Amino acid sequence: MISDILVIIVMVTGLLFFVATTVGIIRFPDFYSRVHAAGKGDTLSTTLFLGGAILFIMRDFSWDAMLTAGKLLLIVFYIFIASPTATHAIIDAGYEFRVPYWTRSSDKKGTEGDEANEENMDNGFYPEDLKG
Amino acid sequence: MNLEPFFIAMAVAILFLMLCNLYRVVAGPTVIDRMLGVNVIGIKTTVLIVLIGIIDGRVEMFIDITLAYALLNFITTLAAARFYQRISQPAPSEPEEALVAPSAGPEVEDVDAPEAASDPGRKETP
Amino acid sequence: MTWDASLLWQFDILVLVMMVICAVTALALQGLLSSAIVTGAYSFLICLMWTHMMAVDVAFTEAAVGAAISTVIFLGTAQYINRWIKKDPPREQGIKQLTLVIGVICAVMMLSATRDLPDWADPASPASTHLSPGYIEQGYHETATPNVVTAVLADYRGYDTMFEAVVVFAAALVVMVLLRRTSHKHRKVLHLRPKREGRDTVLRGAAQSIIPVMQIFALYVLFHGHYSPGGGFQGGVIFGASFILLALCYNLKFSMNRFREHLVLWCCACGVLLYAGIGAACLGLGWNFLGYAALADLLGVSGKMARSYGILAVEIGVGITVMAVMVSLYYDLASGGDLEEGL
Repeated sequence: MISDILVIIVMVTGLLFFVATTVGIIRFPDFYSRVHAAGKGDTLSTTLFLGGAILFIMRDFSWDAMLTAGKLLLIVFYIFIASPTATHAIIDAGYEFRVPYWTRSSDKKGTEGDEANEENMDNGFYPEDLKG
Repeated sequence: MNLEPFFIAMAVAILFLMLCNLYRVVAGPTVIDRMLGVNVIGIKTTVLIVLIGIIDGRVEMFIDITLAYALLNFITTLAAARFYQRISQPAPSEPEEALVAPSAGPEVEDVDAPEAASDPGRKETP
Repeated sequence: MTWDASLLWQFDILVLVMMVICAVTALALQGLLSSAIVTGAYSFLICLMWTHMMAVDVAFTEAAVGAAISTVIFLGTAQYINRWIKKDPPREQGIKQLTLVIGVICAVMMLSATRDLPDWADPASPASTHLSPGYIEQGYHETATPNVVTAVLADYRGYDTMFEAVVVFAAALVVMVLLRRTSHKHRKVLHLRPKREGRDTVLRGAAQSIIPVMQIFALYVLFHGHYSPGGGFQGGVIFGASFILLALCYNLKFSMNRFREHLVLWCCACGVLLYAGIGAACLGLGWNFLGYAALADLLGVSGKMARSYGILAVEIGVGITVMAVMVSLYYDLASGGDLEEGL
């Protein structure tokens, strides 16, 4: 009974983090912030989901269950190493590809920074003060 | 306590959120945004496979494919990131290695190098 | 802890909607690279669909080949081609519209032909009444292999798997013949790329920790194909993917120093040789080609254990070939044939 409640709590927490990840990926204005949302939130929510699965499988302490739970633990370790590395590779590629930053002035309409930043967004160059 | 409806609801919720992530794949302004969305979809698919295994009661059968899936998703993301690092570097202006055989046909226009040399860091907006 | 394993219709509908969105997006995007990546996403989703339908070996193969290797090969090849779809001149647009009309007519004809196929999971379909009960009931008793899929692939339908290995070998040979150049003198400039200078510590560390485990896992998948989903093909793909990961995280030369080109080609050929050689050995001992029971006297075991060992040996052959073919395809396609710099 207690283990069931624990499984439910862990999995629902994972789902909450995944909702945060999705909202971040859809709503953030900039490539770099989206990568933050995707990399961190995705890894954590996957770890929590698989942790809940491990707790569920370990409810009966048979040898098969321990073996399966051990393999799932290996998957959790692997995702904990590989997913942040993939995030690092993506954001490194974006940086070298010179994806433009979002700045606050590019978001307001009708201000003076608007045309300069629009042009920068189109050409893919950084804003002037961020070059170099 | 029967946890099957809970796991079914969890699987459907994850799938629905993956559908929302597909918005980033479809509408990402740059190509790397799409790569980001595909990475998230790939990692969540491993979770979904484990959940399917739990719902059907045979997790042992699905563990191997889960690990293989996670491994291969990582390779796909890395390859795409490396690719974009590669094409972001501008081509050198002097083709020192460009020796064409005397028996070659009409000049093949190099479609990538002139564009890249004249416009370094051009953002790809498909 | 087994519940009633019924397929969830909510799951199916959501995954199918996502697959349709991915497919339409892959067609509608203008850049070829984006289409390649979205096709990778489509492969992930169809693998999920097959897992849900309990076809785990197929899902495994799709995940390995469609999701990872196809996307890496697309990306490696696309360094050399014009990546933007340009507008066609008017005379080519007419041909494209004609092709569209022909395609739609063929699609309609094929879809109407599927009405004659048996229903999904129909117990009275010809395959389920004549073939499947035989394999399911007699498979374990005749071949001592709990995984019926592996038994069918490598024993009952061994010819098909052998020709699969031959086709994969031929693909590697074709790519090598078409692309491989040894001297720079006759090379037209396709794409000038500066050499990669910096070495990324994070990727190197990840590669050092992941690749040995990945290779052991690939061997596990290969040898455990008798008992769990897997087998030679999937194990070989994962093993080859570990070398591709090495080339991605470091450098193509780094990976080539560890798995040289001539050794790759030897492995491609030896796997097929092993498979066909076992078949020929069975033929020479008086049985059918690929009739593994002929090896019973040679190995000193009973007939069904000989079949089990025969299945293991041919799976090893398939695994060696597939591993070497994946590595060879990556070497040739990602470097444009000159094996200097990969992705």
